[in-house]
Amino acid sequence: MNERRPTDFELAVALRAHLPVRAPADLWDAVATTVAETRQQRAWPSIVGALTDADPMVRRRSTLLVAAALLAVAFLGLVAAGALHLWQPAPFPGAHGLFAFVRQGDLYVASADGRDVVRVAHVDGSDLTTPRWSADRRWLAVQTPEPAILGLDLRSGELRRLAAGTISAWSPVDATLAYYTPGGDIALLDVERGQERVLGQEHADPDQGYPTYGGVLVWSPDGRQLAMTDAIDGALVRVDAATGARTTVVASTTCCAFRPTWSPDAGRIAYSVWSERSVPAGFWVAGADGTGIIEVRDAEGPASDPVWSPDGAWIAYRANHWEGEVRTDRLMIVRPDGRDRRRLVDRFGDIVAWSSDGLGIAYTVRDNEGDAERREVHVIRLADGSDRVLPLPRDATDLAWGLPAQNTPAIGLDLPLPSLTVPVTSDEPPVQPASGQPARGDASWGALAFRVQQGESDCYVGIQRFGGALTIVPPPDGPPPRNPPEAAPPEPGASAAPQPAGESCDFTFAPDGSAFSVTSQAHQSFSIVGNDGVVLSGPFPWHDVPTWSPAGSWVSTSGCDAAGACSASGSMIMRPDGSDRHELPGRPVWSGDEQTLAVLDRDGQLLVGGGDGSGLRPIGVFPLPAAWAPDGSEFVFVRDGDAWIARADGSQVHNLTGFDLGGVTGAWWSPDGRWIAVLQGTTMWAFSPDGSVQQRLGSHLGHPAGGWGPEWAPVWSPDSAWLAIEHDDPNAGVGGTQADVTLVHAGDWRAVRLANAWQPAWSLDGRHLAVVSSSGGGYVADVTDASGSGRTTVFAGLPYPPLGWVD
Amino acid sequence: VDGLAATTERPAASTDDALVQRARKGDAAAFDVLVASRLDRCYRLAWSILLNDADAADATQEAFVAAWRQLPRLRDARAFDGWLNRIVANAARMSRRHRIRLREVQVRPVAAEAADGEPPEQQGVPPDMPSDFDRVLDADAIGRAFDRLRDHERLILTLHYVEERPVAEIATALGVPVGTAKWRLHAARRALEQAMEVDA
Repeated sequence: MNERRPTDFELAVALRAHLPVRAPADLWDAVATTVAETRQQRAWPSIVGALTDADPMVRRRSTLLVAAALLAVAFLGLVAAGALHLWQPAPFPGAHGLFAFVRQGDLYVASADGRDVVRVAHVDGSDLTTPRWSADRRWLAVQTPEPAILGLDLRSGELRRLAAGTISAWSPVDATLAYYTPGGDIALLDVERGQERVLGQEHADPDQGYPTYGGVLVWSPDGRQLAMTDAIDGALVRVDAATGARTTVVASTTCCAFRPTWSPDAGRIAYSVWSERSVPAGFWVAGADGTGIIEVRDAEGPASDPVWSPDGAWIAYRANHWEGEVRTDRLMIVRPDGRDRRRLVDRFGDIVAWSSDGLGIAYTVRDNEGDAERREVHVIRLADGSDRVLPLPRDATDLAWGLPAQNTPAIGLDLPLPSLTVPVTSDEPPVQPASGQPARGDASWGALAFRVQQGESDCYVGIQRFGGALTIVPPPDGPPPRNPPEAAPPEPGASAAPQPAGESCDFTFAPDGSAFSVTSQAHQSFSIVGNDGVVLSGPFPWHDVPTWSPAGSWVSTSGCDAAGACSASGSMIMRPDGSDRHELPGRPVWSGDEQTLAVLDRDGQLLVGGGDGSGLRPIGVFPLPAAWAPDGSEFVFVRDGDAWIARADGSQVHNLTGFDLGGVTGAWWSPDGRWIAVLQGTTMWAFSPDGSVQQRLGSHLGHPAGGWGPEWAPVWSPDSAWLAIEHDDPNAGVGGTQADVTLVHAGDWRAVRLANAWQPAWSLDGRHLAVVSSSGGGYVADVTDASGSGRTTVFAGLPYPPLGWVD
Repeated sequence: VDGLAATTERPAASTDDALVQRARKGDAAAFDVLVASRLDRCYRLAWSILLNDADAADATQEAFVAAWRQLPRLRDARAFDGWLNRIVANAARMSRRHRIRLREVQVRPVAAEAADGEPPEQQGVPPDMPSDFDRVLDADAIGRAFDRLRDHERLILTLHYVEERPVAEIATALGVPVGTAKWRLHAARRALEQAMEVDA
């Protein structure tokens, strides 16, 4: 009997090995053909109609359909030629990831905080250099002196020879490696397919030292072009990755345009200009078509080595500062148009990477001790200049930051990969509340609702009134509950592993505690049920789990059925009793008083109207509000990495956060209107709506990547006194499924952390907080008071319930 | 600061967002680029539900046709991946139901094939299996246990552990709240462990 539970790492590895890696080779042909036939079926009647219909709108549509059909034919031709370019979105080096580096000729990796150093490759008699992470997260390439390129398959741990030549760069969109052959050709190798293409001669002249300058070949973010320095005349050129065609971006003037770096939108290229092939003269920014060239000057010394920030708002670079004959390079940042220059570090070696949230930069500092060059790796937080040293080996060289797939088998690490962002020292550690004495509560606590297993179905809802009876509410089409459990809650800490569910439902509870929705997976329908079990409306043949308006007066769905077919507008709302059902142009976001709602139309116009969707009028191009002020007079939205506030009519737009480096992903207005919680990266802030108060609540209160993902939302208590923040357990690791809840008190901002806690739900009167936690093989429901103290297990043996308070 | 911010252009959409926008308006080439890059992943998802190559290929094909038809109704380009995963999952489920009905009519299901379509129990665990599994055997055990799970459990485990999709996107793909997706993930994980215990 195997008693050991598989770790996340083992599970991921085993499932990846178990499932097919690729679709059958002929599937794409079949898919493309079928989809093309579908297009023709759609397009043909419109073409015929266009010949007889004088309506210009119809003609325009038909023209588009004809064009689509022609494109489809052209595409099939491409498929037949085998020229289809498969690609995946490229992750930017981010808050999670690994450093690869070389130490004494061997290849090592380390976690983001510089710890957990592991040697991953050693080749007898050969010094490895220049590690490069692939963008598809599956490969780590490394150079040998031969020269040859070796690839470490991160899935299997196999180290194999990929090609003869010199490493340049992985494509940002797939597993294609650009490199130079020993003969000076630029070649692309699709490592997964073993296909190699030569793009043309590089004009390498080894006697002149080319192409050893700079990054040599730099992929555009869309993976379609390569920027490089022409080895003959030093011009900046673009090479089409598909055809090999060259385009001169900037002709050489003094000498050479080195180390190009693309802006994230691929629209611009920044590059260093060296005057005599060894002396940096400055860096320049040019449009990818060679227009709009500007020189970024620096009084500190010639600027070089630009590196674009992930959001394109900043460029980090080196200012080559001379004091007599001693050069001390300074790490600087500047806007791409040359404005707003800032000095970050007075003495540094190389820029390693920006963090993906753009809030920090990893860089090296060198010092020479005897013959051995030693270095430190630092991370600086740009907002406040705080800086820390990572405990990497000081003889580490060739640092490369990458984002391999989580739990990389080849490296043998199942690490909690910490954030690259710098913790701020003013953080007060959360206080773990003392265990409270068992308190079963009384009638004044109200009632908790949760999922209950009945036989093979988990579609039953248990409503437990504190100090009262347990009521089991069956699903609308289900048999009455059997063998109702006893009313008395179990002993605190007791647990029972639930049985697997044969029939499964999803629930959402009305915010006012009056009713809940039941969505049956089997029937692809949902109903609204009162707490007494009376079906208020439904079943409706829609697949979505509906959501509730803030006070529970409305229910909204996307109106999509199981096959993905949606209502014309894509959004429906109705009263809980099924009345007043009508479509909206988009998903509604209500104000707290439900007197106002906003929807986004297809053109990006934000429409604002009454709480029933009446009188919708466009107020301008805005994102959907992150939150409304309680009275609906203003709304907060996220744009360009900041939280902004606007009046309900679209006027008086102002930037609330004004963060230098952006990074805002969400905002939540307190019910009393006094505070707006804002998430920046993994840091939570509280702002007063007028911006006069700005309070940092803590870091690591969210994970931009991995873990639960960014969509969890903090929950204000009804009286706005506390903010409950569900977040990844910082000790559980990326991809882990453990979570904590941190409570922050508004005003004095003290924090309390509830470990092993999910899904915080405030009682209707705000006096208590319910959370779910794992215990043994099952789940239990805990209740604390509003301050997080007196944590007490009130129910056990829950089959993965949604937990809600009911009236 | 002023009202201008409301009328300035929105930030440049990512490449995928732009492709979705174009495909939604009927740009077939953009649609092909979008789905071609996701073919392997969608096939893997379908396979995780159907557990065989032919059905997974058929379901993937049906899903892509449905996606082309439904794309004009996708409102938020950023939700494309979750939306597509959902269509694939639904196509695979429908295929599974259809297949089960056919089997009920045409052949008598084998004893181990339950009426609800559960695959037969896997063989191959020798009785003298050592209690201390090595990693390779553990991987095999996980694979066998995975095949014995219900389709929605296999689907969510695949999305999370293989495709590394954040739970929020999984919630979108399944059409459920984020909290529900978390619980389903926990439950699927636990079901897998229980299946491994039975297997052992």
